[in-house]
Amino acid sequence: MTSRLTGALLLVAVAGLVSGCAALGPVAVQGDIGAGDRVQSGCEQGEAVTISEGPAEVVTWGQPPLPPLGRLGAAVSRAEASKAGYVPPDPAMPDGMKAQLYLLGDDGLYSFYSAEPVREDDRIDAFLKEHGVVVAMTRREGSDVADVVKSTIGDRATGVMVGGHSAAMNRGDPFANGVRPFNIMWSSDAYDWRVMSGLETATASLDVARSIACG
Amino acid sequence: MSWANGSKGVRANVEFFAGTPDAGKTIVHPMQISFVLGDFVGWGTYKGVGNSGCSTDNSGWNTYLDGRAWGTYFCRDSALPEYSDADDGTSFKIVKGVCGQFLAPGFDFYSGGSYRACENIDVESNPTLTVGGENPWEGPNQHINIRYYSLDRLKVSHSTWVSWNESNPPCEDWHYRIVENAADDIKAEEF
Repeated sequence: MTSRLTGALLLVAVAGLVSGCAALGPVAVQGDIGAGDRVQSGCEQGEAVTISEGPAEVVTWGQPPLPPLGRLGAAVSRAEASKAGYVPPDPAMPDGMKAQLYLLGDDGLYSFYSAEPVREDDRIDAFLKEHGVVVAMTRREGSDVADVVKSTIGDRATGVMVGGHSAAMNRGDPFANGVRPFNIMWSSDAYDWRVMSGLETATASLDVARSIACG
Repeated sequence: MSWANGSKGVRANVEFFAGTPDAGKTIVHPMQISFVLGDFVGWGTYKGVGNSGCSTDNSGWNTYLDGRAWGTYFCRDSALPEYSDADDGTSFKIVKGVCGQFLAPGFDFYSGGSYRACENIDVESNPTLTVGGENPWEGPNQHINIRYYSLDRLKVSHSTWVSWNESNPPCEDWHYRIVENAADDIKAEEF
């Protein structure tokens, strides 16, 4: 398996678990994917992934106050979101977790999944601390977001495949409450996607993204 | 990753004085723009120990720009010279832009009247603007006086800067957080 990985970054161990997603490629290649590499479809659930963790020290930089979730947009029903042109994703979530809140903003739909109810005045760090997952589905306005993320944060981003899309994955620096979410970003034809996960592992977080992209 | 049409930004002339380092570090943020999912950008100025990625151990005030892009923190030293408590009138500005090799949404940074950088972050709608925030991580507020000689906002779909004081409380006190509640309206509230 050949890959162009730089630094101490990444690596994906192929577990060989193949889901029912169609058109699976034969070889798993992660990171900066070269022109000659064969590419998997990125639909395998449970395939282990290792990403660049980055520093985990206590944060002292002076994060501004986190706005309440409700500033993203208006709370809507699933039907209302669909009517507005944003059909909410239906990702595979760990047992007990379900969609608790949909917020429709000027730029797109934000779906919140957790085991407990979510309020509009909650903050993102507390939501993630309870292992919540938010899926941002925003209108695509230009470049592929994975390319932008990779060029912006460099080797803190790990290249992964999500349903045939080249995605960027990272683990965020800690919030004030210590939580460090996993982030997966990719673009489809019409939307930019960001899965921000408070789940305990990178693999579980990536599975959420893959279930969205692979249906 | 999205960005509503129109311009949006904040600029100010700022004076800092009577700063007392707390645990070796004093940080004041003339202005910050933050989003619900945690990404932000801001101008900061500090004495003592600098943030990760920036220079450190300064006796006077040094300025930097920092932020969080898709969860990853960054800090960049500004090109401004270190200044003392007696100096005043330092100007800061942040305004929306597009930048990077992909011309993606970001923010342009200006200080001392000069363009310094543009940084890409994950931009959502409805940013929250905060002025005069002190480092909240190392104990209580440090009671640093911050005076804004002027503080302006650039609203969505408007091309001219408007003083915050026109229709909002004076912003000479760091207790005021500037909150934009709607796409075309900014107001200040105490915190």
